[in-house]
Amino acid sequence: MAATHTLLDPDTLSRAEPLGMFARRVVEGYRVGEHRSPFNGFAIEFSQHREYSPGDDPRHLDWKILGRSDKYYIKQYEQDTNFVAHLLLDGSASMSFGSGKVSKIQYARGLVACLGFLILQQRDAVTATIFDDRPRETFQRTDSLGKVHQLCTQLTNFTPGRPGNLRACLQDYAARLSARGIVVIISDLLDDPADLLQGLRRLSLTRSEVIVFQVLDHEEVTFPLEGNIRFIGLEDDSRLQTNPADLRKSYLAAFNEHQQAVRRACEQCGVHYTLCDTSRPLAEALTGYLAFRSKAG
Amino acid sequence: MQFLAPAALAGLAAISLPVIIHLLNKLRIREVRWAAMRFLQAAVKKNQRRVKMQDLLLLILRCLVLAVIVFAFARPTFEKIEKSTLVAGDPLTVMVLLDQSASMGASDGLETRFAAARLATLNFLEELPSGSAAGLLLVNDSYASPVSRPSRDLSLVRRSVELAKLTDRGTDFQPAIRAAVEALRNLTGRREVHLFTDNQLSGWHALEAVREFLKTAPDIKVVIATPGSGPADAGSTGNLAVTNLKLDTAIPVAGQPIRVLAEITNTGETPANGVRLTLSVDDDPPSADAVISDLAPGGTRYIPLLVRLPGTGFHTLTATLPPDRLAFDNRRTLALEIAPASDVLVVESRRGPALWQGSGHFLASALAPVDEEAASRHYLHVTRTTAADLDPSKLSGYTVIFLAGADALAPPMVTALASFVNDGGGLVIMPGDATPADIFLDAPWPDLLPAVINLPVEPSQSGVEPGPYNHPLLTLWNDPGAGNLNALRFSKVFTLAPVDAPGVSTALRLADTSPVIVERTVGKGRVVLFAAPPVPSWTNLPLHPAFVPLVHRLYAGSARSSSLKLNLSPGDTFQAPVPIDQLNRDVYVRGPAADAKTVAVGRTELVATQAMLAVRNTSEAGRHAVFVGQNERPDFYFAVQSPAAESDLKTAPADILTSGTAPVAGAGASATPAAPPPYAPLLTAQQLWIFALAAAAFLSCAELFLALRTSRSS
Repeated sequence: MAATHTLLDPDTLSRAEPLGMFARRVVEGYRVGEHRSPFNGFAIEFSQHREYSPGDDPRHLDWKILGRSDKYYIKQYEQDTNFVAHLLLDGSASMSFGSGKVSKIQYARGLVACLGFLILQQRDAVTATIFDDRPRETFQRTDSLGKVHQLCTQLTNFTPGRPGNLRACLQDYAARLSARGIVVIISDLLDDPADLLQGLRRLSLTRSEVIVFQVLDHEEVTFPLEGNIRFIGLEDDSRLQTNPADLRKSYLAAFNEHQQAVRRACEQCGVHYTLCDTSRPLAEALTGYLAFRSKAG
Repeated sequence: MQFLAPAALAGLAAISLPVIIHLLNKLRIREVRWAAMRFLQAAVKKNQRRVKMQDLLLLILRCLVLAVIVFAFARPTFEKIEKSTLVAGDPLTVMVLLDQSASMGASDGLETRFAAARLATLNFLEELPSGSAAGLLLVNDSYASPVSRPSRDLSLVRRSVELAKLTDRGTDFQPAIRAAVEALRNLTGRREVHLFTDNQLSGWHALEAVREFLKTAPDIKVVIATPGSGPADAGSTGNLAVTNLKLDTAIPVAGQPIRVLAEITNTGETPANGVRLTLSVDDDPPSADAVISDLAPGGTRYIPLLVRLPGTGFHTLTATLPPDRLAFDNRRTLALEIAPASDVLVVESRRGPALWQGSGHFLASALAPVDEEAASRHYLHVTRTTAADLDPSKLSGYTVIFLAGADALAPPMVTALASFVNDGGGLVIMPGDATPADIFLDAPWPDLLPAVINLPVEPSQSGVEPGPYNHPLLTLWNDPGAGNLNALRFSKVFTLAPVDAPGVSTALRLADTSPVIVERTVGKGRVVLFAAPPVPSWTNLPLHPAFVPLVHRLYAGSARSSSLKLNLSPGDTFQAPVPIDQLNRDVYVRGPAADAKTVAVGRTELVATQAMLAVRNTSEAGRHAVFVGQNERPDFYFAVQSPAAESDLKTAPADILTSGTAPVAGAGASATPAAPPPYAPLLTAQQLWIFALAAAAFLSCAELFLALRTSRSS
């Protein structure tokens, strides 16, 4: 009752509405002129056989008929159920950082909403989870486009505040994953790349397609700060007083090394990696990625 | 190590400034909540030590820059400073004499003696003990007194020294030393006179008078400093000078060749060879030149040059030598005025109606040696007449009157002639056969004549005295190229007894020493008396090649000369009459410098009944153009000529005022090394000051480089 009340809270609704509208606008913009879903389904059902003709994919040969009758038949399927997209949003305290108009969590919320809207619109199923050191909020699986508002409300209501544990969360989620699907991880990935690698490895064992969106603030990428600054950690409350100009070179070296390790981990696990800089418009980042995915087929 | 300005060391407190700024920066902290702390921590762990070192190094560098600047201002010196001389001790009352004569323009290739003396003067003033007072006199052939009495306002004295300029004037130390000692005489305490000069020997021509005068003020010390007058000065490296420039033509006429003599003196110590001398008219390019060869050190040579002047009026001739270490004497300018045609009267006696039968025929022909057609265009218009036809009222129209064997003149005529001479006219008397000697005994002849005329006699030696001749009338024949007077003979002469009166001189004598030509200045004019008439029965002079030039020189020497003095010494006043309608007009002068501007120098004034202009304190050598009112063309040209003695760079010993014997000019005094200046410690201090500033600049650059490298602003 309380949850329903919260969901129907006008304030929450009003705060979630712009996110839903934003997601709709981005997705509609992308869909104009497009007829083919960028996300191809896996849940397909046999429809009929037909004779093989040159050019057909040999993977679709019916080997049993070939073994029995020595004839080449191709199995044809029809898509009757949608795939399930698992949207995993990092809600750790580090995601609350933002130097510009939007923080990382705001940017990531928009990204989740857009992807959810897009997938639901093509009648596939979506489930979403916000995690930090463990899953905090879960948006139950749905294939109803009408639930987008609920998704947006849940995203908006969540406030980051705890340290994250990406490896544990990914391993835990992989263990609970019952069927193949698409797993979309949206995080700043500021944890140890080794933890990321372990988590991704566990997910890849589920044979699901895994996509990683790394959301970073522009200042984290370029470190342009000047003057005497006391830095306070967002997750561990550690403090450090220094002049950033003295450390810029070393910071950028460590940061770039980390980024390379993240990319390497993604490559090793066959994960598609996309870097999102919060200084770039979300629509630009999302449509760019979707266009790439459409071309990749 | 000592410091000349130890009070400046208080500025070391400024070193605390970088420390304070450093600490303030540390306190000015901004807080930022940051997500990617792990990279930051890694960077800090890796760089903390280096950053702290850089911080410390920058702080030290900034403190060091300030410390070195303060150090420089404290004026450190490693040499012991004489407590008894300048910096320490009682306040000093000093009169500073800075030599600005033309010889101070001698350069050693880097700087002139004047620049060195000025710098030494400024250093001296800077190092005076606190409470000192100083005055300043600028020494030349006289002196200028920017600060005539000792003043405690040393900045005024320094400023006056900075504004002092080199002049083209001569050197005489006596007036300035007298004025300086008189300025100090009635004061108390330590009193000194410091003379910054090249100590030119020619400036001490009144040495004994100076020594005697200084004995009257024994407690006033006189110090001579000779900065920039080392052994490698202009005197020892060579200096060729135009020491004189004069006309050698009796009557300069427009369009006719004019002979000019340039006196070139080698005041250096090396022979001059192959040096080109040029002569230019007005501002035109050189129109004559000559090459001087084999001019020994100390030698003088007269170089004749021929030029033509374009028209009547004022002109200038400028002789120029190539540049050397002493610039002022490489040029010398002569101003002259070319007069329009003049009227000359020849009074003669005639034996017949024909002109050739007159006793002045040879003379008239020599004055205008042209045919009748050209005579009207000749610059001398000769009128011949006899004593009987002479009109006393018309004498003033002539410049010179020749009495060439004329008959006796009536007393009113003699009175008119006396008046004519007194007003500036020229009278040449050549008594002859028709001239009785006794008429010259009557007044006013005795007041006019340079000699008493006795009865004619046949001389024991008919030839004239051999050269060289000193009288300007005859100097032409000192040049063998112009011929000589050896063949001149006088068969009969009036016996002349020169009178004992001022302005009487004998120009030429016979070989037996009896005078032949005697002259006398009377009033504004001049009277020349010949012992014989210009007729062949008395002398072969009319037939001699020297007759025409002699007659022209005679004319030039006795002609009504212009009262204008066109060639002046520096400091003289140029005066010239102007038409009365130009009274109270502004007078402008343009100096000789290439970039000289025309400046107003005053107005024309009424002097007695004549409107006059005056240009006072002429100082710059060369041609000056004078304009009256708004006239676009100059009304006058005059020239200022530096004294020739300034070219002689021989120096006197530094102890000239105290040593017993007076140095002799030309006795090699220039080889005497100047005494070392007593201000060496001050120069050392100045050099250290420069080094300290250089170190500060270097440290500043290092700090800037390090700050930029570590991205910290100063």
